[in-house]
Amino acid sequence: MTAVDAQHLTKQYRVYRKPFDRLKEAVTRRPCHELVEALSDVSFQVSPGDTLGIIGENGAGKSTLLKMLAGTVRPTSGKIETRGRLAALLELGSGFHPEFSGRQNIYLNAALLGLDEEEIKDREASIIEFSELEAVIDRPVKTYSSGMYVRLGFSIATSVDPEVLIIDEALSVGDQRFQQKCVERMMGFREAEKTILVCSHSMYLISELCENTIWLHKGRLNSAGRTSKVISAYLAYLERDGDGDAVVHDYSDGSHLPEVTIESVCMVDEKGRPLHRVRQFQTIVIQVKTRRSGLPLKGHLAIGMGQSDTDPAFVTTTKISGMRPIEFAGEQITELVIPSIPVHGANYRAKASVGDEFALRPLDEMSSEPFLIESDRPEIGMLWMEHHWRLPEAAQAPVSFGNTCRNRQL
Amino acid sequence: MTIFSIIRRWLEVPVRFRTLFWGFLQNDIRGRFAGSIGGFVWSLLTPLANLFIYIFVFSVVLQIRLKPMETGTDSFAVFFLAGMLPWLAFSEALNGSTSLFLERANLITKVAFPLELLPLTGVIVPFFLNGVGFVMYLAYLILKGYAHLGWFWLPVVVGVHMTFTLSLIILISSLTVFLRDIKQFMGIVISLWFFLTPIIYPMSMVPENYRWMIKLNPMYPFIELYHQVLLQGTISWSMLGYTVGLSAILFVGGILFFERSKYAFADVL
Repeated sequence: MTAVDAQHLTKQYRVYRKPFDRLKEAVTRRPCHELVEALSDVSFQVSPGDTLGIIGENGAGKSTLLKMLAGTVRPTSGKIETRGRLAALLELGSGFHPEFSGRQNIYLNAALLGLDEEEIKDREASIIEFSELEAVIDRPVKTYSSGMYVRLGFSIATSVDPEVLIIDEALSVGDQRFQQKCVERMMGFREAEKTILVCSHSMYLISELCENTIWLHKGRLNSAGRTSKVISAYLAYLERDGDGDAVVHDYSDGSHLPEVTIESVCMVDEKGRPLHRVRQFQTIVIQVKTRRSGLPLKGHLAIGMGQSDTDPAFVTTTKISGMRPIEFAGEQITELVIPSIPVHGANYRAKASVGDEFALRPLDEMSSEPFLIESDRPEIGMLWMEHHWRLPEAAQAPVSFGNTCRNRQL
Repeated sequence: MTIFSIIRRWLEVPVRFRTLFWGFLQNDIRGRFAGSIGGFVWSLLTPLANLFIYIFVFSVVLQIRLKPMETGTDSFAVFFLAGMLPWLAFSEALNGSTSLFLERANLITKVAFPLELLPLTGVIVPFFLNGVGFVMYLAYLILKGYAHLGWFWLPVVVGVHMTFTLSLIILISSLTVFLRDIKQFMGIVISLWFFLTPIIYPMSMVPENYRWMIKLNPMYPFIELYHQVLLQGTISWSMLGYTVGLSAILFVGGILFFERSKYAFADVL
């Protein structure tokens, strides 16, 4: 069973050089148009509860595909089937009447998405609450800022509780906090086993939300599969885009050389001397040597530490720390200084990985030799925490005879 | 799709999507007055001012004289309003039809909803708004003793007139999507059409050798039916039959054309 089944979707648009040509064609029945293929032979399936990302450059056919999914545009050939109630957020607030209040607009907009009056009444309060527009909901929406507009639109569209949700770049507006709220709501949809199709230029959003991704290139399905793989291939393509119409390479087999290689990861002390045994609370420096041949490339570096790869004790990246991407060129050394290391135990390793400038696509990674962190603290556990004690009051509890129960409370 | 399933769709859609339909109707009516202080008052004042001008020019200045034997009344105002009020609803609907889909291009390309609701809204709203004036006119007629059992035919005439208007709107609104020049063209058509319809003059004032021209005008039998039912309490079966037939043919043609072209709207808009 599939939630969305698209088979051999093709969309051709007739483009007329001037409006008169359309009339001429209608009258003389002689074709006066050029055919532009916006989408050709695109097939994919989405199972219920899956989240599919759609990526591609501008003009790759993403919008056409989404319009077909939403049902406003018909494919020239091929067919598309969706199961269950569908809500499409192709443009938030597209049905809003600027002169009407936010509340009045909720009604028409929700009705457009297929709710009946009862359902709208039930949801009105929660829509307003989610949009955080309580104070202005009875003012005309023409007085709203674009962010408020979008907040109301998103609240309405997602309150429909659709089985299939289609989202187009809708979240690129609104402030950070509301964006986060939207992502959370969509995560909620995902957990509720709803099917979501997201189209975005934000690789971050796609990788956060989607298990699988399809990449459209010039109207064709270029690749489909696990999000991380498809995004890697797409970003690699974008970087190489310099040579114009170059064939799109398939990097999914991993046979290519990383753009930046990590030569070594080692532990040194403040003076740069190699360390094999580390004392707890000592200053350590993790030194990563990278090499980039060819033109400089921007990227981020991640360094983690732990006793196993899958469950690191601590990971930080240059991006998380809010730094600008590193310009990798030739041989370079990046150092992470940890002034006082609070963990202890055996077999610790430092692991470094280098990623692209979005910190999404890993380029290369390497682990250090295992090392031991010794502690002369008597406490037990894998790390030492700052602590102090508060002992029970030394004051004597008053003793009275008779009711012992009450005594305890005193 | 057969013609019957298309007709069924037109009947079903307003019921199945009643919340949305109601929303469109409300929006359209409220939208006309939103932001203005006078609100609904303007919808009465504007046509009222126009009506007074017409009545002044034709009844006072040009002194058109009516023969009660032919028209059922000797008052120009009574005669004029019987035709003018339905015409106002009709012309307003026609005027709005050219922007029915164009104005909502954003909505049509972004949200899937039954497009049939838009022409339906486009005909119901002007008839409803002008209906207010019409009811006031009827009240005046009752006061003046024009009330007649023949008035029971009025809903039938209005119904056929609305179907005729709807059919035209469906055709014009969907054609305009492909041929935007119709919008400019409509202005001329409506003003010419008005003067070629016996509203400000009775048919009897038209010289014999020009009457065929008026008779070709599809609005002529409708206005004539309003005159007959309202002022004389009679109804011409041949004219009613003609308007019913004309409306039915136009309606079938309109919805067939709409059915074939509606899927291309989102491509073109």
